Formats: sequence, structure tokens, C-alpha cells
Amino acid sequence: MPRPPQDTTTWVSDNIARTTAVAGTTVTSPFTFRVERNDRPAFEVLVLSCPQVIDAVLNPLLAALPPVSFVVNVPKDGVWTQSGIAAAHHHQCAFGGIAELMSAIYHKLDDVSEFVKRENAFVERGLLQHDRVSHFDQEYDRVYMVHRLGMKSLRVVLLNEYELTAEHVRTARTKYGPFDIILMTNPNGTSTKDAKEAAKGMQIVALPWRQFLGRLGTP
Amino acid sequence: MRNDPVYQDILDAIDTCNLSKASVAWYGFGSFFTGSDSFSDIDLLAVCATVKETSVIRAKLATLCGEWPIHLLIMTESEAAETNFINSQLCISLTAVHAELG
Repeated sequence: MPRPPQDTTTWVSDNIARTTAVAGTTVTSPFTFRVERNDRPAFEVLVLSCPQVIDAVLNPLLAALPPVSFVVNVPKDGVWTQSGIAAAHHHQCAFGGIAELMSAIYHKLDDVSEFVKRENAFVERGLLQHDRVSHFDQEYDRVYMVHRLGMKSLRVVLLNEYELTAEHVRTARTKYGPFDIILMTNPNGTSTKDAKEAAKGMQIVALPWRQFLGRLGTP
Repeated sequence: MRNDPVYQDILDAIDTCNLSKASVAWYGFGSFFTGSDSFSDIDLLAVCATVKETSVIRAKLATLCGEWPIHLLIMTESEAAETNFINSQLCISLTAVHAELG
């Protein structure tokens, strides 16, 4: 039986209360808690526990609850869909997992809703500045369709693993469907021989950042 | 760490999926298992013999991973040997802890 939302919210609230930049937390509803910070304004967090965050889940909660600055989805494997991301943006909320919520706290932003995950911000900036990229669409939090000038579009999955294994490659394929490239966003990341073989068998390449930029310029 | 409800859920999931006694070795690593006050995720490593088992492990732990912020890393024995991950990340054997707790 799934845990009640209140239990999940309390667990996340207690965990966040133990971070150094936080003065305390208070659970304010079964789905929300308030974060009091030592040297910045307090803010409200909405807690979800979904395999896929979609607008149909997010919109009713955000419409019914007092304003929140951050929507956190607890499962590490949880996926933010395009509609879920759009709903968060529409309601002017930052979003992510617990790691991103902690990162938002450590960024010491006065307005936490301005937080953008550094991994995505870095990749999007690189795509915007690339002379062979016309535009891109974010299909999931970790998936981009990159449209190129005069060349076929490429579907790219971001994985931030320290050790990319064959199982990661196969799971990404199952989770996101066909794609062309795994962009390895961990600067210290490597891939195993089996991961390379698994990718090759699916006609996928796993590339670090610099090689990825080069690939974007190649037909 | 052991007082956190997630820890018992992890041990229960490993036990009930009937994989712990087979050819799967379970480990914990990262901030949760090193006893940090707060943590952004819970790092689990499963090492198994075959590629087929990697898929079975992912499927059998889906419920656990759907409720907690679990980062589940699944390696074959050859990948674990190639990367030396268990030693380099100071992984803690959960199979041993599980046996110790009875």
C-alpha cells in the first residue's frame, strides 16, 4: 500500500530541516511544507510522489493550495513530462527532486521560484549558442529534441551518472523510447565497456559535453 | 541512518524480492549510508551475474524506487570489476547488515 501523502511530506520536511541553511520547517498541509531559512525569506514547497509528473496531477493541486515556490517530486526515477514542466512554469514554481530542492536552498535565492537546475541551464545555454542548432524542445526534464540547420534533428537524453552502465542505457531506452545520443553530463563520468556495447546495439552514442557539441555539427 | 523508515523498507524490499539470496550482492553508498544529517538521495548498488538479472532487479525494486529518492545502480559482476566501484565508493554490504539484523 502506498504511503499517505502526509507521511511523505513529513519525511521530506524533516530531511530538509536538517540542512545547514535552514532554520526550520513546518508541515502546512498533507502536500506542503514551509521552509524557514536563516538569512533569506521563507518559502512553501509542494511534495509529489509520482512516476510521471503531468499537468493533470499538478494543476489541480497548484490551483487549490496557497502559492508555492518549489514543486518537489520524491522518486529519483520520477520523470517530469513536458506538460508537467509547463504547469510548473505557468504557476511560477521551480521544480525538481530533493537534490534540486537542496540546491535551490544552497543557492540562497531570495525568490526560490527562480531556481533552474544547473545541469539543464548549462545544456540549454550550450544549445542556444551552437551555430548549427536552430531550436530545441524539452520533451522531459532529461530529454531534448535538438533541431539543426539543414540536418536531421537529434533526440538527446541527459544522464548524470558517475559510472554509466549497460543497464542505464537499456533503462533510458525503455523510459524515453528511441533516441540518438546520451549526453553524459557528469564531468567526471565514464561508461563501462558493456554500456558502450549496449548503446552501439541500439544505434545510440554516449558522449561527453565537448564531443556532443562536435556531433551537433556533423550530419 | 538505521532509524530512518526508508532503511527498513530497503531491507524488506531486498528480502521480499527474493533476490538477496541468489546471485545478487547489495550495497549502500553515499551520504545516506555514511550517516550525513541530510541527504538528497539514497544510493543503492546491486551487483549480479547476468544481463538478464539487471532487468529483473530494476523491475522488482520499482515500487521501492517509486516511493523514495533511491538512486539504484545496477552492475554486472564484470562491470563492477572493471570500474572497481565497490572499493572506490566505499560501498557497504547490505547483505551482511541484513543477516546481522536477522
